[in-house]
Amino acid sequence: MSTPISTENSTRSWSTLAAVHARWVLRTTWRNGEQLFLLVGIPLAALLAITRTDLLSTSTPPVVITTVMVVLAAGFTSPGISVAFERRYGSFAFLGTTPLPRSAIIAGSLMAIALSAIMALALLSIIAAFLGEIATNDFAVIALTAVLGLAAVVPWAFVLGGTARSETVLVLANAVFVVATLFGGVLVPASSLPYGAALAWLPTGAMVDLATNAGNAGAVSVVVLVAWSGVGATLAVRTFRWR
Amino acid sequence: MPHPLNSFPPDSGANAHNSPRTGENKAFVPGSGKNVAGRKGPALLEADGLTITYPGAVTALDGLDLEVPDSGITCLLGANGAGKTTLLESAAGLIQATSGSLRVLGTDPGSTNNRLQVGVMLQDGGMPGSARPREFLDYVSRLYPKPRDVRSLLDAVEIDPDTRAPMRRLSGGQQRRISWAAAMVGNPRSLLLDEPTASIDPVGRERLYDVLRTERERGVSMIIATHLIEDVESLADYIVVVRNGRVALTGTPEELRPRNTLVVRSAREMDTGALLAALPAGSTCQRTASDSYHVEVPTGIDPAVMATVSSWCGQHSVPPDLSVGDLRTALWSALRGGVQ
Repeated sequence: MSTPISTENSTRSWSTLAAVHARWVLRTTWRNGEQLFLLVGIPLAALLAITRTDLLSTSTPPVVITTVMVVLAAGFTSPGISVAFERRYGSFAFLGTTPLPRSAIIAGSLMAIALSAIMALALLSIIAAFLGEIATNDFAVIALTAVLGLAAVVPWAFVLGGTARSETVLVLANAVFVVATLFGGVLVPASSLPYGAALAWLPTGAMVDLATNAGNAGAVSVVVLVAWSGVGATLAVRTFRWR
Repeated sequence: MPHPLNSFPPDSGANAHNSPRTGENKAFVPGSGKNVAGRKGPALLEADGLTITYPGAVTALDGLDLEVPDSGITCLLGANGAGKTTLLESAAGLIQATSGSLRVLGTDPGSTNNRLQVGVMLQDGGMPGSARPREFLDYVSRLYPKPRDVRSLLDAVEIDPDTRAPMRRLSGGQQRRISWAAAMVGNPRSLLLDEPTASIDPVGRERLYDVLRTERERGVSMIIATHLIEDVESLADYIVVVRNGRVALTGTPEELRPRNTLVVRSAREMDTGALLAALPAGSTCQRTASDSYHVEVPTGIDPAVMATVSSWCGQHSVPPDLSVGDLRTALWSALRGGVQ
């Protein structure tokens, strides 16, 4: 207890603080069993179901399906739930008393989301390679789909997680994942669904269209994803509550 | 043997302190002699007409004026809903003032400087429930340029640094201790602690008092919001009583202790008439709890009065256990707003 008291006036740099926060979010996400199940377990199960069983017959390449599932899990369900619980525990309020600025909390969270998605996709790619399911799609198109898909869904994680009660978010964020992957044109192709044409206007449908160059021309899917991103971000900025 | 609070009606000895004394604190000189740093500079907290109204027109702070010295331990005492938490959270930069001004260490609350130098413990803790204590403190320590050692801090608050239990599985008292450590991990020069002893058992509370005394020895100034008079008696160098969003009373424990009251500890029934006959005219003696009598002497407590009361105790075969003044009475009265 002999440490001299602080007279330190120099704060750590903004980018260091954002990186410290990103590392923290990554650590807590990847240690959480439920989050891992969502990020890697369920997409892996879908991959196996498509490639090794007759349970799901779809013409959509497995790499597209797993990419969209990872984007939804890493970009929406997982951050939505964790943001809601941080708010409930009051940890954002506590962090607001530390040298960590709110902008660095946001930036760090976004970095962690992107890294989580990359890690999950890398892990699934390695497993797919071992299974002999080498992706035949163009890597650049898949990467663009993942980036725009994340941009489209991440703001909505903050809209939901930043306004509703944690228990509500827990149910809704998981329900959205299940409904969107089953009936949003991902696991069951849009062409097999009666409302299939409308799915092109939702993030999941637009991601599948963009990655497979099907349905709408690629440009329209890009516009749809950017529009979801813009509307979501505007709403998130207006409605987000730190606690 | 401390009084149980609920069996302790305020007596007339504290009447002189019932009126607000806001403003008198400007002349406060740290008198504890325990502030090794001896800093001169801006006040730890300076509020001027601070008003905070929540949505729904709930006024939490109502034109509060207060200056808290940047030394020693200041206890902010108030009932539930008095405005303690609102004041501390606005000092931490989490709540904006509706009107009036608030400065912390001479700058705006929540300034970069204050975020570095002021450690905060919030009433609801703010510890993420899914994280383990040490990993969370390790993370928080990385936000500061010169943090303290996490392991020894956890030892100091009696939390096993190697526990693998997530914080939501720990008891309320254990979570509270981790919040203490989190407030101190950045090696701050000042602390704002909101009900730090809530849900901590009496033994743990004593231990934590020692931790705070050690911080005081190091020169850390702090404000502790509490509704426990015990906290005030054990720690306070300076006392602020808040009531209905305003300051009801300020002063050092010495200043607030009624000088003309003598507390006699005795569980035995004693003949007060015999005592009053021997004391100066106008004196009163009341049994204020099952184990104590309050003797009020308008001319003050001098050696002659002490001798008289001692011999009165002797007549009843009661060991003389006398204390001049009773801080508890004054605080109790200020908390209740002088309603008797």
